[in-house]
Amino acid sequence: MTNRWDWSVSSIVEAVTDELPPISHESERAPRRADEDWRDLFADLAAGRLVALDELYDVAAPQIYGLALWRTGSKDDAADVVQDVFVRVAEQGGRLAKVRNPRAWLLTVARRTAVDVTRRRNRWAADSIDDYPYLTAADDRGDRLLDTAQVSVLLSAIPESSREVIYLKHFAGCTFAEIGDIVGVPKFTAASRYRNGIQKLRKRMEGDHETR
Amino acid sequence: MKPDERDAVVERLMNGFEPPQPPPDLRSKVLAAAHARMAAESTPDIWSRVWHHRGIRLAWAAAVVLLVAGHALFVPGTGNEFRPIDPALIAEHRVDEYLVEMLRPTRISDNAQPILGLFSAGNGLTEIDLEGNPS
Repeated sequence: MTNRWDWSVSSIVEAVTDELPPISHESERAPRRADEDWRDLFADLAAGRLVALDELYDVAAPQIYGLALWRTGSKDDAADVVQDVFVRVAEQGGRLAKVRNPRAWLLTVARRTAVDVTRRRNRWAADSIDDYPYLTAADDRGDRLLDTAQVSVLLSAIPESSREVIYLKHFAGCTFAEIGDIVGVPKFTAASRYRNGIQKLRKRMEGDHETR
Repeated sequence: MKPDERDAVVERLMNGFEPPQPPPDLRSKVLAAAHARMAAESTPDIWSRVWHHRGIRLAWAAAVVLLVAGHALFVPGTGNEFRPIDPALIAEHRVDEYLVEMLRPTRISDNAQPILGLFSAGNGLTEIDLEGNPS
């Protein structure tokens, strides 16, 4: 691991404490629409209204693309996953009206498609993390303590089962119960994977600092 | 600082980032593919059209009625209808065969006579047959 980074968790705690928003168990990041809105979109699609597909893309594609990118490690594969998911949505027709949680359903389909794509191509992370990181900066601040590429490299080092849970919890705004449904594990297992992932991420940050 | 608190800091650090957005050109590509598939799905295939065609469904129902009626009217009884065999009879028959096979004496020859006794002869014990003669 490169030693070009001059930061650690311990050294930046004081610096970031004042500038970061408070922790919230309910993720506020994702532009989360009400479940009723998602269901309305699915009902429109089930009724054959094509314009609902465009609206669904605008609200769902970023989450699907992000999950696929975090799962496959390739932006091309992630784009393929997004297309596969929307084609499957189009295939469902009237059955979409029966989906109770459309957002979780879409992310479940996206995750399974990403797993299939990875398995079919028998490789992982075709793109370099430096070229295409998992994260981008939420703002344009140049004096950011952590570079997106640095965090992306650390994220790539933790197990993908934990990484996808971190994404779903932190960036897709899912509850652990929803994550359990999406990943196919009990919600307590999902919570455990999230906690383990955060711990490993933190230890890698500290370990990287100690090796300098 | 405790590990749990440091984990919380990591979570807060993540709030400063967001995942990459899909490429701008992906939208038109995905929607074109989805619209095409949706249009294809809305056009029923041949079997769907057959299934939903009123005339064909009526013809199918009429054919079934005709076949059933024809079978009832024109197939005479031959008297050779299938009659199931009583399972008890089958079991009894099998038991009899088994007992006969088990009790059948093992004989060297069908002409051999059973030994009725022995008498003392000059050269030792000798068998006698039914008439009392030495065999």
